[in-house]
Amino acid sequence: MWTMSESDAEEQATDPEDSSENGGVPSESEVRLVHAARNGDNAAFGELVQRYERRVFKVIRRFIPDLEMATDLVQESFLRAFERIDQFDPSRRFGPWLFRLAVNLTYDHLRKIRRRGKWALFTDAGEDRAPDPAVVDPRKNLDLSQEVQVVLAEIPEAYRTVLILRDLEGFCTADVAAVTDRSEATIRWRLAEARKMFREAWERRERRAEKTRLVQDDI
Amino acid sequence: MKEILMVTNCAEAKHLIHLDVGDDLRVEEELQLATHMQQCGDCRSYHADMSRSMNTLLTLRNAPAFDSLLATSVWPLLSRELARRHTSPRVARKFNMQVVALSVSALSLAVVTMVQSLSSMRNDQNPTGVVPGLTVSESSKIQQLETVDDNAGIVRAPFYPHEAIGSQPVSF
Ligand SMILES: [Zn+2]
Repeated sequence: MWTMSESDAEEQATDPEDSSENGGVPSESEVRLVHAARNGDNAAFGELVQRYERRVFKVIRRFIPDLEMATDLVQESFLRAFERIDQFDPSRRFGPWLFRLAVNLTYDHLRKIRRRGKWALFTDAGEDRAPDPAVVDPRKNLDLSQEVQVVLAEIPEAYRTVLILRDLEGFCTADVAAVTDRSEATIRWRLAEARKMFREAWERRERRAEKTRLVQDDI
Repeated sequence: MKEILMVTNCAEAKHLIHLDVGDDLRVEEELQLATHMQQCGDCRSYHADMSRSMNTLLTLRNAPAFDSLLATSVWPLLSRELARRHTSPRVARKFNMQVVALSVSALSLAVVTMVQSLSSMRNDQNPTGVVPGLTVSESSKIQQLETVDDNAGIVRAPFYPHEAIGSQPVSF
């Protein structure tokens, strides 16, 4: 039986053409701006900010629905980029490097929230309770995209990120590899697994919804 | 060419299907999958299911909730912050040895206290000096045999006479 694993995928990435190293060539204007920003030109950095901020915001919003928090994280991402611009390799494209900072900051933020929830003195007790059939399930009022969002949240972070960047934000697999600091072969493997996970999670949700419908019809 | 003609099994075909639904197959993989699907009804129906699930996922791509743009550019605020950082002098950071010294002292104190309390616990367990299972006179004989070598300062281990003559060990 064919059983390919993520480590197999990693091993396949020995060809430099197939690795995340090949994230494309930066444009001339971008090289100029990055060079100027590295030499302390704030206006050049400002131009980079204005070029990328909407895209960064959109990616962060996929993970953080709160508008204000997402905006704060955009700012934080650019601040970090400014602080670390000396570490950036100017022969690469600025975009993937910036998105990597933004995604990592977003992960950190999500982890902080999870940790806070874990150690909180009082947690939401409602989550584990069996649903009361007499109470209308608020999920019933979700539109399709909201339901998809709920299902997407069930997918493990590493896979969800690949799905978000590739399928929802339209990054090419080489860029997803550069953003996540993985080889392109690993990203292709994760992408295949993530799409399968989404399908299974969606089907589970449909089955649950069907069961609930039947129970309510009986009542 | 040899690779394309290779027969793909269903597990491999499914992996390719997961990539195909998002247009992520290379040309040779597309051919490989097409060849397999021509002969495999299961994989054809799996492909149809995966395409449906992919379309469902893609409803999020242009969902209005994610289309809300950044209200205003972050640059004005950011440039002020950068200017502030630039003008405020950086406080030089120095490694604080005092913290390390204090931590080491506290740790040593804790170890010493632990060792002392352990030894006093051992003494408390047998304050009479009577070896369990032996009479008082037998115990006092043993105590006489426990000697301290004053020259070397080494406490000799207690010697139990009944062990030497092969009697039953004392059960504690
Ligand atoms: Zn098949």
